[in-house]
Amino acid sequence: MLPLRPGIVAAALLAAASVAVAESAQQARSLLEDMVEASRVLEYQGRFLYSQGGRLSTMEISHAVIDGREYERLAHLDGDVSELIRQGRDVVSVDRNRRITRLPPGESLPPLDLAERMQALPGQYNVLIDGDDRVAGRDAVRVRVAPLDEHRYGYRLWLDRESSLLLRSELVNENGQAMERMEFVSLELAPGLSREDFRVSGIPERVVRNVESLEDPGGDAGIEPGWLPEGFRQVARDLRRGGPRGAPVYSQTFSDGLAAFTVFAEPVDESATVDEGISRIGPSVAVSRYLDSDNRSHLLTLVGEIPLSTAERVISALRLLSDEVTEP
Amino acid sequence: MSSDRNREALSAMLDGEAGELELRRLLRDMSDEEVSAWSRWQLARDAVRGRAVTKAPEGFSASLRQGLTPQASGELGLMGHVSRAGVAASVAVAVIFGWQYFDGGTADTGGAVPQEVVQVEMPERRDGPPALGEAATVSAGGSGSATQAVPAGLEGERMNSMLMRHSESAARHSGQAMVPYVRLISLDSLQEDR
Repeated sequence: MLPLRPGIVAAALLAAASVAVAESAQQARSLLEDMVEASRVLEYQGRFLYSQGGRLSTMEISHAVIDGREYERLAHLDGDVSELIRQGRDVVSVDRNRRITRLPPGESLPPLDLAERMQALPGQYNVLIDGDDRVAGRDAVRVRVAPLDEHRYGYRLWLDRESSLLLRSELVNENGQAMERMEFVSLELAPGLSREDFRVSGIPERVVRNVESLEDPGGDAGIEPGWLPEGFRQVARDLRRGGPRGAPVYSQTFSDGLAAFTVFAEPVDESATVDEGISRIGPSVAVSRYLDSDNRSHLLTLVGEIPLSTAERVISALRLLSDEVTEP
Repeated sequence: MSSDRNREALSAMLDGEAGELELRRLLRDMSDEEVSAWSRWQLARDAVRGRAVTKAPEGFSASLRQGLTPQASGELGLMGHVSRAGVAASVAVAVIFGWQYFDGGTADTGGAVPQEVVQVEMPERRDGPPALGEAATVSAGGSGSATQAVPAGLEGERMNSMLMRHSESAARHSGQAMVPYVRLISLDSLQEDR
C-alpha cells in the first residue's frame, strides 16, 4: 500500500471543506430569500422588542394577505401610540401626535423580484448558517451575514425553522457591536386576522396629510451618483412634494440587496436655513450638503443605514443630471 | 395578568420604566384585550397631559436640564438623550433628529445613558409640539461648547418626510423584511415624554 502523501490529503480535505462552505452559503442565501417571501405571504401576529441607541421599544406586528391584498400593521406598545398601516402599496403612518400621513404608492420603477434583489449578495457579503437557537420559544436557525468591505454593515439573523420568518435581527458594525436589535418574544402563525385588525386605533386628532406624488419627468432628470459602493444599484426613484414648503423633492434609493440608502435633491432659495451636516441615530445616518449649479442651489440629503464615511463619499460625488429639479 | 403586580408592571412599561426582562414577560403574556386596554391608557394619558406637559426624558443629564430650563420651559423633551457624536471634525453643525444622537455602536446596552452631552441652546419659540422626525440643530463641536441653534419646525417636517420615503423604499426593495418600518415607528416614539 502506498503511503498517503500529506499534501494530497490536505488538498482533498480543503476541497471537501470548500464545497461544504459553498453549499452552506447557497443554503443560507436561499434562507434569506425564504425569509423575505415569508414576511410577505404569511399571516402572523407577534410582539417584539426593538432596541437601538440604548433605548428599548416594544411593538406589535400583524400581517395578512386578504383577498390577494397585503395588510400590515405595526404599532408601538410602550410610550406614545404611533403606528404604521400598510394596505398593498398604500402606507399610512400615524405619529405620536395622532397626525396621519398618507404616502402615495407612486413608483416609477417596477419593483425588482426577490432573486434579482438578492443577486448582489454573494459579491458583497459572506452569508453563512451559524447554528441553531431558540427565539420566542421557537426553533430558529442562525444566519451570519458578514460584509466583504467597509461600505456596509453586517447582520446576525435568526429565522424561524417552521415559517422562515425573521425572529431576531441584529445589525452589527465593523467591531461586531450590535447597533440595532429586533427580537420577537411571541409569534403566532395564522391567528385569523381580518380587515378590522388593520384599522387606525383611536380617533386621530389631526387631519390626514397627503404626500403629493408628482409625475416623474423621467429621462435625464434627477441625480446621478458619481460613485457608488460595490454592488449597490438603483431600486426606486420618484418625485414628490416634500416638507412644509411643498417644493418638489427628487429621490432615488439604492440597495445592495440588504442595505439601502436614499438620496434626495430639492431646489432651495437663498433664504434657506437648512444647515449642511450629519446626524445619526442607531444605524441610520443623514448627511446634507448644498450643490450649486448655474441656475440655482440644491440641497442634497442622503438617508440610510450605511457607514458614515461611505455616506459622505456617496454624497460628495453626487451630480445633478439637469440644472434643476423642477416641477414637470 | 390581572394581579396588582401585573398592573404595576404595565404602568411601569407605559412610563418607559420597565426593565427588559419584565418587558419580555409582559409582551409574551398580555392578552389582546390587555393590549387594547393599554392603547386606551396611552391615549388617555396623552389627553391628560394635554401635550403641553413636558417631562425631561429618563437619563437626561441633570446639569443640561438645569441649563436649559429657563429658556426652554415646556420643550425639554425635544432633545431626548443627547450625546457628543463622533462626527467628522470638518462639520461644525449637525442636525439632530428630535430623539437621540448617539455615536454608533451603543445599542444592546439596555438603557445605558451616554455620559457626554453636547451643550445646546434650545430654540426660543416653537409653533407646536414636534412631530415624527422633528429636528433641532445644535453644535456638535468636539469640546461640547454651546453655539447657535435654529428653530426646528420646518426641518423636522423635512426630515420626517425623507425618513418615511426612505423606509418605504427600503422595506419594499431591500431584503430587510419589515425592519425599515420598525425603525421608522421606533424613531417617532423615541421622542417621548412631552
